[in-house]
Amino acid sequence: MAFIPPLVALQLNSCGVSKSDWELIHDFVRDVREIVLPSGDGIVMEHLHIENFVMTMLRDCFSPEDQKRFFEGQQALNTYCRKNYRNSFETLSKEQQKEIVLRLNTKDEDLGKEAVFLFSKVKAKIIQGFQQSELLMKDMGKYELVPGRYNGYYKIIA
Amino acid sequence: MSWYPVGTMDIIRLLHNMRDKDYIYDAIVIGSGISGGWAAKELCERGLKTLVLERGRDVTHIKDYPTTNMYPYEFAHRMELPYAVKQENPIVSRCYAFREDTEHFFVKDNEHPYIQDKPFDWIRGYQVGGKSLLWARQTQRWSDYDFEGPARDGFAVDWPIRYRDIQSWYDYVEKFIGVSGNNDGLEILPDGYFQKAYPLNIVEQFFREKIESRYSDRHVISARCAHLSNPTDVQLGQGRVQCQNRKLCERGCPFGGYFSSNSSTLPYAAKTGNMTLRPHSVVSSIIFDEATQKAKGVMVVDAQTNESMEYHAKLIFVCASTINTNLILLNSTSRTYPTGLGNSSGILGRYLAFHNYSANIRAEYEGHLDYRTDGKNPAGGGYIPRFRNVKKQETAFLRGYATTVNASRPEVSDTKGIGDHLRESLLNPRLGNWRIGSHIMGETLPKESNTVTLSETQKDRWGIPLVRIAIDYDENDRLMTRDYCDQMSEMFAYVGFKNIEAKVKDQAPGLDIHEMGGARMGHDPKDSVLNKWNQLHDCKNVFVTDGACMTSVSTQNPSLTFMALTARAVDYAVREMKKFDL
Repeated sequence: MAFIPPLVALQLNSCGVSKSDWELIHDFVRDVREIVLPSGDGIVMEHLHIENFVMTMLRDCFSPEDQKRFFEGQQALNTYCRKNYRNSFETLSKEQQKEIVLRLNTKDEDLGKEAVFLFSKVKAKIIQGFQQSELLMKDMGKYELVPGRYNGYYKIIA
Repeated sequence: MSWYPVGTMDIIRLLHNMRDKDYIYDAIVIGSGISGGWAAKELCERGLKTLVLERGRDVTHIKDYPTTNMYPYEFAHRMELPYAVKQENPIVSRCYAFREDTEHFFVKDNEHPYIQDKPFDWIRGYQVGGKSLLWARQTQRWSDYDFEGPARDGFAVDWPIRYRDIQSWYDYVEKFIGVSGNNDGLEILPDGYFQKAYPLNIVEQFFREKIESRYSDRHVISARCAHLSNPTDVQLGQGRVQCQNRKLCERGCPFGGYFSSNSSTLPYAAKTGNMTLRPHSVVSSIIFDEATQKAKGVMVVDAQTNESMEYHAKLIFVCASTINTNLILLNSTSRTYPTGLGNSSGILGRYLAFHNYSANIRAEYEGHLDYRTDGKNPAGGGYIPRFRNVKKQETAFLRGYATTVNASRPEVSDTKGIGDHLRESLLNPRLGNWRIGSHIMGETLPKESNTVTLSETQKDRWGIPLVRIAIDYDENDRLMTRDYCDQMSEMFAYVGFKNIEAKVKDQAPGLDIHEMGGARMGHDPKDSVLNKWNQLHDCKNVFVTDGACMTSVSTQNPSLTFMALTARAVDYAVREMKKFDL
């Protein structure tokens, strides 16, 4: 059980066969991750493969009811985008996507209640994926596997 | 080698060219958990050829701890359990320790079904070592305030022992397993043989000083635990070293930093050359010999092949864990004991009890913000021994509760934004206010209506009747829970903690994982199953030393007492065996 591999969504079929619900979510996660948590501070976010972790969690750790809300949210968002931008979210410019994401982040339900729900879960998993990445935990030492000590009176020097 | 009539088993053995020495031992121990491991050690050390029967698979120290050195990111779900696992396992998913990194040591709901006549979350670990791999490692001794409880307050029956009977055995066990704590000088909680305590941190100590100055009978101490803060040669000789403060104990510890059968008593027993450990061995019953009025041995069903076999021994220690021990005894019927071995009293399977863990309290504290903790505390923080009704009955409820108090500061990041600001915030968390937690550990009363019985219609896949559990809370528990919430909230407020939230959880009995009783000790064979030596009144060569023996449950984490009772009972049993033919 500890070795359940991440379930990776399939790539777009260029023959025009419509994507599955999960493929669409994966595209959304990929687009949104760069806006929510861009590279910087010496970190190349692509190297952390946070999207894979997000997809694993969305697929394995949520109820079917919540997952239905994810799909509805993704569809509601695309409906909004086609209506207001004449394009799906995926094909918007980076600037336009950022505008949308900012509004999703403030829980603007004009974009669709379920779109806001989907975004809130995706954002939470992006944050978790980053905080619990090997880079932060091991390389940057934010998690100690073997502390070997306990000091209950550690004075913080300002 | 003792003589016995030629029968079916002999013919089968002859046909399979097996030798009697494969089936005859001096002693049999049923169960390899915290009690069974001790029985194995003590019996083997005294030269008895001992068969240890474990129903689950083998778990060898270090070799069979597959997750022990994994970082959180090495788990696909970062130690959360997938939704499907939780859906399939509603019972064990409620256990705080059941996670992606530990689930392989827990019984899954559908592997071993049981019948809840009343709601009961039965949490089990069926492998060599049992729940000694998973326990919380908290250890406290009983005092006479606990042993005298039933007699003074008029419930259950009088314990046939007092502190003086077990004191030297607590000493013996603590010195072997390694326990950390302070000698606090409290009547209610006897001191012991301790390695350096894990200290209270600055806020826990602050709480302690304020509370102890206001209430003369309330004490906050470093929690005592079976972790090696400073191992002695005894533990080093077991191959165990200092605890490294990882707090990943339920994975199994590569340092042997806490006590488990796997790291300690079982290897020690094996070294004597007298132990035979047989995993995948489900004991269905103890075989009673009508002619000798003694137990002859046990019936075992191989868990993997479903083959049945008998093992014979002069001495049997039943350490299968409370409910399974009751099950085995109830299923051991004979002409003399048609309702279960040792059940002339009719008491077997009755008068169980558990620990009331149904409430907890959280709070925040804005003081001492110039301090934090560094590293991790395996003891968990502070422990408050029972202060209610100690010297006399004072409240509307009988008995009382112990409690914990622990303080820590979380790292927090502002996650409201997105973009570069979010990344910077996540890379540079700040320390939040101190968060304080506490939970109740209340003594429940062993009622006659708290029972374990056998299904008359349903069996498990080895042909053994399913167990039916009927255990519940009562008004005494509800009053006690109310008092805990009131008292702790008041104490927290007095000390200056804020945002105090007391929560009573709607949880069934069982999640305490401290169910006890059903084969209680007592003076009188008419209203108890065991005598003062954990020996069946009715059958002198069978001993019960796991939780089933407990006449009452008091407020202590019980494992230390199980271990001491086991060591004491083996000592008595072997001396008696040598003196007379037990």
